[in-house]
Amino acid sequence: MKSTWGRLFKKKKEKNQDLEDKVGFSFEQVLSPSLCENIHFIKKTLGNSGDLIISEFKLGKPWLNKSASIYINGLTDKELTGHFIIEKLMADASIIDDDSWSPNQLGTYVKEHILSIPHVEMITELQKLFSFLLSGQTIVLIDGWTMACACSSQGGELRSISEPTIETSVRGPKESFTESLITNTSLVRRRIKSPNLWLETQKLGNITQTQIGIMYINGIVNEKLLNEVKERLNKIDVNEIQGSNSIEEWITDETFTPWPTIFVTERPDVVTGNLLEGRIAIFVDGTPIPLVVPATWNQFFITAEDYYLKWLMTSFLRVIRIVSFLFTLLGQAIFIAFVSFHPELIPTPLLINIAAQRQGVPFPIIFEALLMELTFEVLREAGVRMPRPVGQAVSIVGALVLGEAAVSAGIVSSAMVIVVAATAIASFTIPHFLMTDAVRLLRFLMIFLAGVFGIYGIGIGVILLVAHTVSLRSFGVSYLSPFAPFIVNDQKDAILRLPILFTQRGFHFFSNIRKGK
Amino acid sequence: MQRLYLFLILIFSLICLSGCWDNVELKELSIVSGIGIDKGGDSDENRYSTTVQIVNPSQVAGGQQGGKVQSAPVTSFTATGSTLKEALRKISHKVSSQLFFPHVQVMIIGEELAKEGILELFDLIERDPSFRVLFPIVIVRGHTAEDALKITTPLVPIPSMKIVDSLESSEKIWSEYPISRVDQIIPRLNKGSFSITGININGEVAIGNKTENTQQIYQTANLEIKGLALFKEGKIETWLENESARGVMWVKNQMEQTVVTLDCPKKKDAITIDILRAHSDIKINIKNEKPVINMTIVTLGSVSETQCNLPLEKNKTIIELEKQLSEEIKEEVLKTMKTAQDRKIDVFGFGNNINIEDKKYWKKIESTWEDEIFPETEININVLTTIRRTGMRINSYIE
Repeated sequence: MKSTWGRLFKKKKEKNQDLEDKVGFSFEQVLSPSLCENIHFIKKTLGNSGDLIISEFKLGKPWLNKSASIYINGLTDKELTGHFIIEKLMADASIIDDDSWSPNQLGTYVKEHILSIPHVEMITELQKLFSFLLSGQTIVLIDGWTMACACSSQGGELRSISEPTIETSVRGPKESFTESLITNTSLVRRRIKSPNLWLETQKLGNITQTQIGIMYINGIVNEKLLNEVKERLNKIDVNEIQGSNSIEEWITDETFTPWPTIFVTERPDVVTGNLLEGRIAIFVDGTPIPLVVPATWNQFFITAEDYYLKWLMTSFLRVIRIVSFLFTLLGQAIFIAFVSFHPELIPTPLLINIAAQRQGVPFPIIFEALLMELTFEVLREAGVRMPRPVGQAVSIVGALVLGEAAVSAGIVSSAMVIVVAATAIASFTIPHFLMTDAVRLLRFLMIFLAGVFGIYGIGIGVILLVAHTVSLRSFGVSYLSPFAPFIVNDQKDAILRLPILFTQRGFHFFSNIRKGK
Repeated sequence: MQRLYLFLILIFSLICLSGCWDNVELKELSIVSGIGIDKGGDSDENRYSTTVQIVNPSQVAGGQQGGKVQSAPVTSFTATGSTLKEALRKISHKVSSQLFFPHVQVMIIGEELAKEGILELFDLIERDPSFRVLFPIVIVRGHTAEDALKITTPLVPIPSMKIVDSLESSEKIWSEYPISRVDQIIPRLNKGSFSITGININGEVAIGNKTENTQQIYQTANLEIKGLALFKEGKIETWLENESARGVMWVKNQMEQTVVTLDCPKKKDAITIDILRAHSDIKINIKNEKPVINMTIVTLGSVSETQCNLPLEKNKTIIELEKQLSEEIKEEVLKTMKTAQDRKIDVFGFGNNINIEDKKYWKKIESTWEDEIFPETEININVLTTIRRTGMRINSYIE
């Protein structure tokens, strides 16, 4: 693993060279004193893009100093740029009537007295200039000055905060993350008003220059874990970061596993809860779904709603989820194993019933099962990818026409339809879609083993699966914790949720502060 | 890489060393619900005649079966052979698919064979992994097992299941004849006597064989549980009927619920006592090198019917009834004991009690126990009864 990282790391410098060649300037290049030259260079580098807005004007009373403001149309808040940058520069700068000022003095004055923008930064490198410009800042250039002011004026059209669609809740807050990193982090900060909530931002992706934010609560988070996360993020060297999923694959502990080892959520309250437990959230600009690490298996069976319901109900629901998870994974496989390998274990009346249904079915049971399971997967995929109105038609055709007709035509037995439907419904109770996906695949493995080796095969499958799962780590934390290793203290909020009286949230065993200390 | 190979080898051996179970499609199995064993011919080649009753699933299971011809819920086939297994295998000529034995409900033995001896029948059942040993055995009285497996039954479409259901429910509420399961019989085969419940075919077999039999309100041919066959050395010695059979249940502590009738002052057998609970306890004393059996039966009952006017509100009446009930039960048990002692059959398993009490003594008398000592043994019976309730009424409306 290390050697792989090393190889990737070595290539970084070569890659930089490639990029520089493509962009057409060295990353170390600085601004030239000539405004014309600078503007020309910017225009050339951006390929004269239509959304690049450059307004040139004269600065100060003697109208001697040529100046320009540059921004990308649509990325900036037009109000802000218009009123507080360009208007100020054109109108308020008229009080400057001393023509003996050097461009340097002028620039400093403009930054300190004229630009009434909360954040202005002085930059000299061209690379930085582009980076600010392309992330929505307005750049102010003055002729003769080898620096530029970057005024934070980000804005433009963004999707507003809407209700969560994946993780719905009855009693909880009705907010979900949006595509904007700043909006997302602000949603969390509104919930944790502690100076210890820290956010570290950095840019990833050589071309996309995507901003990502690492959020954690200083003091609760384990420094080792934090360093590990930062280290892994720093090792990412790719051209594009399309969203949190591309980061996820880079920083995950184990790629060859069906289980999700990184948690994702669209709810700010879930992120808040996880931060308070000592986890780390990774926000990626452009993705409404941040990553939360480290993830444990049990976490995927917990929903936000769990903490808004009474503890008894929550415990009951969690048990139901685990049971349906097991049923989804093994239900179909056990049915096949019993019917085709161990019919002596089925109670006589039930066996006669199943035998009666199977009398006219022309296929072996394993084939019948795979046929039905695949049909179900096809239907599900068709329903998801279709436009919503068509999706309904798909389910009607699938459920009513295919299911009913297949049974009455004697191609599949109704017992098989019942089992497929029951496992399908059970799979919908698993709250997290990543876990559902994992089980969907593992189910086929179990069906195959059951069809070939019977209960014995299921035994082999389960042992292999458990062995694999136990060996998994998510950022150094055992994936099956708090069950393996068994941590008594964390059982209060694992399968069951004891009343809040006993569970004082926060501080899982992997956090800096341990419970009871 | 080495670890991967090791892993693959381990997985491979897991798969290869896993025994010999194989999958069978349900369609290729004929579910056998009952086995009948009869005496075959006189020659060794067809010593036994076996009959299997095979379930016809689509006729038994509920749900839609539209358009199909109504056929019998079960089918039976017979074949003869020198051993049971041979005879059973020979049936495959007649059946469409492989016989599947784990779901056998009942084993039926013809009386003729039972008279000649049944000791050899159970080796196959114990040895063959596809048999369970948890099904009951019954003896057909006066008919062959083949006949018994031909009789159609209403309500419960599978006749074998009907026999088991009747055995179970009657044992529970009437407690006259016990269920004799194979696993209980096998250990006793070589050790003295045992008992097996009997069934009777009422009506003609030819009529019972037709599905029309079940289409009638009153079945002209039906199966009835009747009698307890006492076996000695694997052969039927005698049959116990009704109350005599119930005596065995009292002694063997198998009594669950039953009904005992008592006498009114002027009318015989006019009061019914429901026995709600019964318990028996056997103590063996060895006096002068001779065993004495002391038995205590404790029962709890309630008055469930009176056909005469009894002052039930008085304690005295209840005490008198209790006394009468104790006497009645004692008489019943003694009567059974008498039969057993006369026939020299220790059907109650007292020998086992003596073995538990005094191992050395039992070793000494084991060989002579049934024939010499048991018939002479002194048996003391003590019955304690309590009548708890008189039902929803106290005194009857009868004046």
